[in-house]
Amino acid sequence: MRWFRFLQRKSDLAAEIESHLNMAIAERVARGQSPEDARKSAIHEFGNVPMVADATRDQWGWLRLELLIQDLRYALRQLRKEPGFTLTVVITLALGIGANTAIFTLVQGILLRSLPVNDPSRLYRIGDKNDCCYYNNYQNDNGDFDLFSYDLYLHLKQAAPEFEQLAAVEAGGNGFSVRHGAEPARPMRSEYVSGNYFSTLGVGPYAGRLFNENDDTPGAAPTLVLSYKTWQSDFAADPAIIGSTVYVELHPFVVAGIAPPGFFGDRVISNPPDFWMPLASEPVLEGANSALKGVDELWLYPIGRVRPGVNIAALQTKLSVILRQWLATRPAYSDRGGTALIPRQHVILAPAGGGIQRLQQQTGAGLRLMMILSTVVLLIACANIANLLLARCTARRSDIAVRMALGASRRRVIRQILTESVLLSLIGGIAGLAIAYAGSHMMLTLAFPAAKNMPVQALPSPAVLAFAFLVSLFTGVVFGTAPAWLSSHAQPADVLRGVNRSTGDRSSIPQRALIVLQVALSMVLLAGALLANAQAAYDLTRSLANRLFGQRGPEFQELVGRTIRSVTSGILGVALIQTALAALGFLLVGLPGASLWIVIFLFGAILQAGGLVFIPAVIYVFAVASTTRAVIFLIWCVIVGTLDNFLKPMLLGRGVAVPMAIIFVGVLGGFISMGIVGLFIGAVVLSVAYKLFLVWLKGAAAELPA
Amino acid sequence: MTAKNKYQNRIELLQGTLDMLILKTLQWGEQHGYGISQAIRVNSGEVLQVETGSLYPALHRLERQGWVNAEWKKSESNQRAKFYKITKLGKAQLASDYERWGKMVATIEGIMTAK
Repeated sequence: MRWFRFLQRKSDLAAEIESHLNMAIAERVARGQSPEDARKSAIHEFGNVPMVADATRDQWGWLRLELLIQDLRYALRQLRKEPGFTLTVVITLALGIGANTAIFTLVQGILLRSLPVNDPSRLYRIGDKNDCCYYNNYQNDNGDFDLFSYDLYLHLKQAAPEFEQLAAVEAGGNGFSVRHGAEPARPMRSEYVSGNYFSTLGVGPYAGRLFNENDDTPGAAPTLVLSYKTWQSDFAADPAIIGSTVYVELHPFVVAGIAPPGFFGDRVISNPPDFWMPLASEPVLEGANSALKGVDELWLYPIGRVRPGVNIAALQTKLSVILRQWLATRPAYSDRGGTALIPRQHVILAPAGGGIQRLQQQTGAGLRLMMILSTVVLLIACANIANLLLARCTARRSDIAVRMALGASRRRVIRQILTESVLLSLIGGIAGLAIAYAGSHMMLTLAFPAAKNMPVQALPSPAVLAFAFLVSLFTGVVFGTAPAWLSSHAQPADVLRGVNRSTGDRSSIPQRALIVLQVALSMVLLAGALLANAQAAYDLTRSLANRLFGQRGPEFQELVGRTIRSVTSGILGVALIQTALAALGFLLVGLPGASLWIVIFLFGAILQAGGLVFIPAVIYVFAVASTTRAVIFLIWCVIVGTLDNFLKPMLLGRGVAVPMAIIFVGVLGGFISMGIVGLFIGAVVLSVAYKLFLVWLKGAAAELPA
Repeated sequence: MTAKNKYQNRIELLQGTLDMLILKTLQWGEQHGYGISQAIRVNSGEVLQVETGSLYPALHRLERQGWVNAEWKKSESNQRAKFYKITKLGKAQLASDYERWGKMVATIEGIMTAK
């Protein structure tokens, strides 16, 4: 509305100015001037029409907004004009933000979350292993006992008043077909739990009621509790479901209530239950196979809430004693030499409040690595964007100079570029949001393939998103604006005259530094990705080697590994050291196109001919720079060029049972035929061939006398 | 050459006096922007030429302060023009402006004639 009024006033002002001019012209014509002259002199007298209009509009207090809109329009036009640049920046940003948000979302969902239960610090599980699902003997060689029978659970419950409440939950789960009304039957996951399960955890119902002890008595009317997610997805969140009857494998169960959202059981597993049933209903469904009635059948995890101030270590000892006493009374465990194993049986109390812990342990290390990697990705993205913006600003220096020369204020110029950077970051951020959502969803699907009920939310956390977004916004603003600020301080006339033009096509020092940073970060990323899969890769090569070389497989795998290591540390290591030193020399002496020289030198060094690259460089420096500088540069080149002769014997061929010459020839041949990868392939092929040859020789020699 | 002389003959308006001159001009009756600039020029004996770059911002400023009202009307030459009219508030403002002006002139006069 206000905007509409502004537009109206704007056209009003234009009309006012026009009427002013018309009156001035009319009066001049009346005084006898020709219409053309009258028009000219009237306009001359009036002055700069747009400027007057601007100054007048300024009085309305709308100018700021108008300038912003101008900036935005101009920025959009600029971005559209360079779709390649825009797309690159947006994709880079989107990947950086998206990957980070996805990973951090998982980190938050898995590592930083605890179960939605009441006062989780007092919850303990008797047992710390994940044995599953039905046992009727000892579970672990060291006597760690973590699965319990119903009888044993009741025994513990009665003998350990340190627990305010002690509940039991089935270690495994079951798949049942569930039918409601006329709808087709649906497969669902379920878990049997003791009647005090929910009250022990301190979880209240979302709707209806949860179990009580009455539900868990033999002969009680069968009831079940639905998970919130299942209620939402399979029963269309229909409140009428509470109290109605569903059929589990044709047995009628009354839906007692709905568990609260976010409750997926006492532990986070990849396929959490869709509903819970009291232990007492187990015989109903399992009939003759019922585990509940098997006194020695171990299939439950006891979870208890200890009273405040209970000594956990003492309770653990006490429970272990009770366990051993119980075992001694059961023939199934004491017969056939079982008695000898009883003394070492014990239980360990594990905090169950962070019930998500198991998942955390399983995925924690991987997630943390992913987190570091994705942070590196974000850094690379930022470096990349900074670099692009710097390059663009250099290209636009003359553009800025023209605008300054036409009278644009420095603030206006910088604000324009700032608007552009922020706009870019915003677009990237929105794309990043999409990637973040898709990414975390995809990773969750990969992590919990069987889950119908995802125990972790895929919604990116706003805090994480905001963080990643702010980092990239900051990059955009700093690297977009700083160069603009610098170029706005240059004398427009100088820039236009081309004083700096010669430097225009050479990348600036910050730009070069950014490229180095990017390459370094990418290497970290690559190494990290390889490390994350190191064990898998190792196993793969081992089985491959076994296939290829039979019994000698491990030996050859070792050989390949050693050869690669030797090439890396020897050839590449020496080449990199030399290149770094040479690069220092090139940069200090101010060789034009230093980055190109450095790349050429690196290749030369790998080919053992780095010194050759020095020759034209030294000649150039002697021709251009002062003699002293040139001589110092020459000495530096000689030192760097001969360095490999000392370094190589120290690093190459160490720990490899193959002569260095063989590796060396392999490296050279491989590089010539295949490039960088050939360095390794050539060396490996030659050393393996050499080893095979030796084996063949020895084998032949061994066969001869026989 | 003539343009230059003409310019030198003009007097730079003191800051804040333009508002007072506009309000004074409008006291004789409603007027449009062109008319106001003509009136000030004629009444100053061709000495004061109000720049449009100052006049229109000033008019819009006065309108925003509520010292003048604006209305589109036909002018005497049958042209559509935006006419400004002084308000009650504007009249009070003019009086206080004029009083301040008088004091300032007297003060400056006092300094200039001091012995």
